[in-house]
Amino acid sequence: MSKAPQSLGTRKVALWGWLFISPWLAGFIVFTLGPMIASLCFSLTRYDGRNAPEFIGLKNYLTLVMDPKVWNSLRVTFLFALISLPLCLVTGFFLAYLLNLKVPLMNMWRTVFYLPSMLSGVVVAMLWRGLFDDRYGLINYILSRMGLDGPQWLLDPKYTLYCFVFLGLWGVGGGMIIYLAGLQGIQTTFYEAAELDGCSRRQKLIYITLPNMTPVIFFNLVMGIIGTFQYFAEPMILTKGGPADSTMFFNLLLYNHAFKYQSMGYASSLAWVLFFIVMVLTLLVFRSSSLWVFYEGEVKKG
Amino acid sequence: MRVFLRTAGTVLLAFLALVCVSCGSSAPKGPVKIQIMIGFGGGTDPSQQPLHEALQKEFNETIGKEKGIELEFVTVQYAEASQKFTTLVAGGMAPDIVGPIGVMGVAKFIDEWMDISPYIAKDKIDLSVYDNALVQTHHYVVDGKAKQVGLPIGFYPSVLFYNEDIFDRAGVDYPPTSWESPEWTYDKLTEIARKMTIDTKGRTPNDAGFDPTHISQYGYDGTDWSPWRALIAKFMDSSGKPVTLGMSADYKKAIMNSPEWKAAFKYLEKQVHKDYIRPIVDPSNSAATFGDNDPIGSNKCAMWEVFSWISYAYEGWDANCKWNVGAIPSLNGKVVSGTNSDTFVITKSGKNHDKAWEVYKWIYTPAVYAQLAKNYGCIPAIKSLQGAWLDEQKAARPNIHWQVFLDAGKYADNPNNEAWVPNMGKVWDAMEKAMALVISGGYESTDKVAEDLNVEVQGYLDEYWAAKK
Repeated sequence: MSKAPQSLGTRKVALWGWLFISPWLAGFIVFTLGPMIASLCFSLTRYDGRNAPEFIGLKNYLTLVMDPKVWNSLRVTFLFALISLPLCLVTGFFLAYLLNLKVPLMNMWRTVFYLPSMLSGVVVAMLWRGLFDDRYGLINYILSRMGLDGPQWLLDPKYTLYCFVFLGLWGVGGGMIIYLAGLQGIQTTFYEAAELDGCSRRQKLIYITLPNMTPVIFFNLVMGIIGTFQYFAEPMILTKGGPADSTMFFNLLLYNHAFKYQSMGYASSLAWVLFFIVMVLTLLVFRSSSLWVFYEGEVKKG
Repeated sequence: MRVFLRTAGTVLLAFLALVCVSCGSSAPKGPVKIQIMIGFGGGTDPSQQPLHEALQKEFNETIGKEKGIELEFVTVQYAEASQKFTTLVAGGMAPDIVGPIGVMGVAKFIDEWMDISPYIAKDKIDLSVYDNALVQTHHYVVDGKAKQVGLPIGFYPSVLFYNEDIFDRAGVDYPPTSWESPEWTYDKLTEIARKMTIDTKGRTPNDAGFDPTHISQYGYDGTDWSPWRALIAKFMDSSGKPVTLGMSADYKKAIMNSPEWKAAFKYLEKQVHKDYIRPIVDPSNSAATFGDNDPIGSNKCAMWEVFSWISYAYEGWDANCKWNVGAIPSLNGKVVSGTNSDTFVITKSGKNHDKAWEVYKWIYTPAVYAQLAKNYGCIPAIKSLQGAWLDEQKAARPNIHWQVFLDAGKYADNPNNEAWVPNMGKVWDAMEKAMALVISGGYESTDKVAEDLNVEVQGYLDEYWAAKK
């Protein structure tokens, strides 16, 4: 069946639509799509950013597969993601849950917990560098008052990664505020009905709150995966990847190759590997969402 | 529809007008513009800009008019200088001259700088006015080709700064000011540093019960803000040559597992983990050791071996303590002062090399040179200007042994601790990582650190030469 011709009015609306989105479209093509295509091309070259790129085919990709530093940075990034992401999701959720209860000075508590996530990564890193300082830092001071010898948090490869996990908790306010919005969107009739049925607070949490919150958890999980694999500012400021590459996150390695070693071609190939990893993980999460994400009014088949 | 067409037409016309304005008319013929990019070293501070502006004005009104050159100083911040330079070169808008730039900055973009030897020969530039060691610092052999990338604008020798208050409290004699005191060795330094290293209960490493985990004052710091290469430069091979670069003369074989390199790692280990005179500090995060201060200004370190670009801290030290400066001790009979040296370089990608050379020559005329060296806080490399520098320093701080700085020039490290090697960035990072590992204590043995480093660096050398094929 052939498509019905568009009326003059419809075409006019469409043209106006294109005109209005054209600034964004131009920006997307020039600043996002163009650089992406360029970096894909650069990833097939040896390119120092100044001289003309030299085509070397897939050599950059073959090199990175054999590069132990790449594998180390992947290990560091995945380990960080495995520990930090669930911890931040759970902490953010429970903070939101607590801040959704009716207690005095609630607005103040919400502000206090949200405030740290307003700070930039650079500021947070500077702040925590002082706190983690093994000689003058507050953390080791508190430990010493308890009769414990605090470790060299940012110097000992055994502890450095955990410092970043701890630091990540500082920013759970961002996720928390989304959870809070989600919690307030749950219909009170569910809780009222549950109360009539004699449900305990724990039962309400497990059978009402959690299922209703799964779309929000899903959103935070996807954003968290993307954010974790783009982790950069804090390690760049605190440790620059050291000691002994124990905090060499993938993005930091990419940055070093691009701007420190002037290997733009290799850095581009790393960027595409990162893009691929994030895409696969995001797709996996999307695929799994049919098993654990519930939307109000949705009827599951089968 | 008419409204839409009218709007679209207006947008299109505006766009075309913009294109015409930006690229339609060609610039009228006039003086050739020569840009000096400041940002790879000193010279970026706002307080340093008035001199650049004054010199630019002076040049444009005199020599510039005569030679058809319009000079422009372009200042960018240090953190973004490399990226900006890369972008300008890629965009075909490379600055003509870059400086002041240190040896490390030169090494990072080694292929970008012109060899100025032909110009030096053509204009019969007298190089004997400079300390020869400093001229050689900017002479390179890259891929078998020698080139002089620049002339020294000034230098920053490393000397031994010390806190007189701490020495007085410990009843220890100050370090000598002569660079040729046979008794002034690193063993002697360690001996007195141990007397000034104290834990929170006031015990020194010489006392029973000394607690190395709670040190409140250190006797010495040498690695803080100084690279590994400045330390290894003190070690010589059996023929008496420094093993600074850690690779064969053709840059193809890494020899960082040599007995000298292993000895250097052991030496560092001894100072940090056996004599406890030197703090455990990540070189990339040195500020943490002494709070928000540096070793001398913190009043928590007796001696600090560091480059003289630390001069920006003198004012703070004056307020906090009595400080002075002594000579660096000898190691195995040799005295070496790790030195930083700045230069100006002419870019290969610049479009007007001859005109750039005219500006370059002007920069190195004594009157301009003296002003720039002073502006950047370096010791002038032109020997005849060093007396004036000395007088000026003495007038400002009469108690400091300023002659020590000038005498250091004779002991400048060669090869320079920042000298170029293939795959410089990666090799440098690998060395700093190995150093940090030894300082932090997270290693199996120092020999293994050296062996692992050698394997890693060999990989970078192989990678470099493979790409050259």
